[in-house]
Amino acid sequence: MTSMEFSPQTIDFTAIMPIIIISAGILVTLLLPFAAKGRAKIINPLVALIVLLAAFISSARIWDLGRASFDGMYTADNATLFASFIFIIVAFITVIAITARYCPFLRSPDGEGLFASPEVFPLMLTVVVGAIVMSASRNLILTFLAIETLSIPLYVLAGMNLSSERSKEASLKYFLTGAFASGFLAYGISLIYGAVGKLGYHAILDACSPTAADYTLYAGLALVAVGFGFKVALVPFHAWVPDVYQGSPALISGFMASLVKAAGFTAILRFFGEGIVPLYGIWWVAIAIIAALTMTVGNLMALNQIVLKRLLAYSSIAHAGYLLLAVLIIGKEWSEKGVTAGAPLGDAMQCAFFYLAGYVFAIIGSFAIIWWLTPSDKEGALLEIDDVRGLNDRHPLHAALFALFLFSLAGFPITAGFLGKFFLFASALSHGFILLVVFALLNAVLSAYYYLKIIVAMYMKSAPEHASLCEEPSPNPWIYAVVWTCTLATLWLGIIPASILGLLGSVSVGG
Amino acid sequence: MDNDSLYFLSNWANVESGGNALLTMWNIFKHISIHHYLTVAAIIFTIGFYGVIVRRNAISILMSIELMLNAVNLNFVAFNQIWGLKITRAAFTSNEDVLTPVGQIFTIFIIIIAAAEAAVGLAIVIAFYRQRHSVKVEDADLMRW
Amino acid sequence: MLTAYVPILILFAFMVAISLIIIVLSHYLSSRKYSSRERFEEPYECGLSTGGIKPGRYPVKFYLVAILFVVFDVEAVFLWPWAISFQSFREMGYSVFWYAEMIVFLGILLVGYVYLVGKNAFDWK
Repeated sequence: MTSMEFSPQTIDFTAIMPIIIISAGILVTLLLPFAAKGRAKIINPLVALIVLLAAFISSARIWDLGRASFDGMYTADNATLFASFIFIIVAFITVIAITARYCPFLRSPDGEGLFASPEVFPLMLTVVVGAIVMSASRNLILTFLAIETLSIPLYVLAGMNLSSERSKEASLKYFLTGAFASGFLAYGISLIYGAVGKLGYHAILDACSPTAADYTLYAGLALVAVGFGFKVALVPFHAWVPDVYQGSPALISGFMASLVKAAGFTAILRFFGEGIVPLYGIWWVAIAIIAALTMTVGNLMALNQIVLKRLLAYSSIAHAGYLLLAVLIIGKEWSEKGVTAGAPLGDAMQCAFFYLAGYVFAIIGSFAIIWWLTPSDKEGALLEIDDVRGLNDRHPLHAALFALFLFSLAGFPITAGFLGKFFLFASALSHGFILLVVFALLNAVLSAYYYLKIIVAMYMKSAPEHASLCEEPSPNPWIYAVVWTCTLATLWLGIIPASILGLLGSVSVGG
Repeated sequence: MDNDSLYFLSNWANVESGGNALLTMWNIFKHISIHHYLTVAAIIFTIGFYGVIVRRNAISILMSIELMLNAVNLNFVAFNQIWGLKITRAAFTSNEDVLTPVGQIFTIFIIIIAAAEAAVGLAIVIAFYRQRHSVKVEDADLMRW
Repeated sequence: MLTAYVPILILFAFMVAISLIIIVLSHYLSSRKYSSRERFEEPYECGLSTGGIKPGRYPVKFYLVAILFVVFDVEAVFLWPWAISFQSFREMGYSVFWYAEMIVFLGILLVGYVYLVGKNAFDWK
């Protein structure tokens, strides 16, 4: 089908309804502060929440229907929808948590809120739109636009803490590396266009043949992979992550570490799985090496970190390394069986999404705790392990919840992290990646060291002599709601995984 | 435009083509194939890459990134010479020399992205400058390792 | 083979010659009021006498206006493919749809504009 045959009939408005709703929400939340003046501080987040809820419902309504729009360019299959559920829930959580600081009568007495500007909400909704389109896109140019829609607001969000120099620095660094990466991505896309003539994943799939080498295509694919690698922080391209996560407001760091990473991985899974799977024999070595490097470097660098946000940043790099296993499994599975529309995703996609769901809640929960401990967030970028020493004596609830999230990240039983790792590694093992799984297991053991270091500090050390950066956590009901949501999700996925796995079992490739 | 002197010069210049100077020059331009465009694009991209790596001024880096994106635009337009023509021929089953501007539309998207990035990036650089009084990237050194 | 490039060489010769001629002509034909040495130290402003170098700051508003100009100017680029393809969409009977697309797009831009006005971005004080 050529582009000349495009007609408005290929637009399926039910498929893109979540996008339309959130986009409308962006416009409303942008203008509402002018109309609502003082009350905007409560109305604006409320509108954002309603919009997210509506988007959630409209996504749930097309579950299992396998709708596609724009000539198959945008697919609202179950994989997309499951990913959008994750994005929307994460955004929901973050909006609530920000509101807690942002609303005048919900704010703790420490005064000046960190998010003084109501632009936070339209920016966050824009990120969600970008993430959803990223997971739904089956066309490289749409993927590129979605990545930019996701990234550009994030550059601003990273610098949202106006009083902090570190926040500005994080914003600058994030912007420079991100824009650099999109240059690579775009150049790669242009080369692929030159080699294939179309940018749809189906066209690329047809053009990829392992026998006839097309070096323009290979060069393009390599550059696109570099661009993706920057966005989800795989190891040779990870240098920006610790600085950006440390400098940004803690909640925004959590937002990046969870939502952005999940969106990046759904896009990667789609591109590698549906686009260039015939070249699996060529790219699997590169991906395997990058996976091993990403886990190892992330974990090794995390070992010596003393600043909590930085430690979590490095650990999020390591998690990206584990997730690359899923890309390898999908590549192997689909290159053997061939991609057929409507086929079930197989356990590879299933465990990738399960891992993502577990990881997302644990990481955003941990960042929320850090944010909770330093309400004004002026010093959140400096909160060290020493500062949480003896946290159990001072704030037992915070310590317990933080420990739970860290256990989940480390992969201890009864948490989502354990089952996620278990499913992922078992699946990789059954597909014959024995060496890589051994490597990943060693890394998981290594990572337990630094997670436990924090837990030991919280439970077994006495409180520091000097004044701690930990302020008195504000008795804020909204924050409780957020952290408890993450806790419940982590435990629920860890103890009763069958419910989510059942849902994921019905996830299939759209037609 | 038939000019005797130009005619003479062109004969002198290019005996076998036998056209006038403009025609000769046009012939030269026609010989500029897609490879030349791609080479120029690759060179521009490399210059941009080099600039990002080497320059220490955030504004210069921003400019270099714009260069990289402009190389992409050039690539898209050049490749469209091939693929646009193919799409047209497939759609109209004729030999018209009309380009279907798919690649050019992609160029427009890239331009938009580049503009949005430039706007946001400049704003971020200004915000950084206001606090640090510098736009050098090595002054962004509060966080390391 | 190299002879094919002779016309380009001629073009270059023309360019150099014309620019030289213009410089020489302006040197001989222009009336000069000043010949003092220090005039050469001043910034050149199209032959007018300069108002001197302004010390002091640019208001940062100019940056803002420039940035906004870039954004809105570039968005207008989308009007061109839309206008080009309007005819074929009309022939297919989708003129209302195609018109609505652009209205939606411009509406989104308008929201951005209203936001800027609300933020006093155009308030030059």
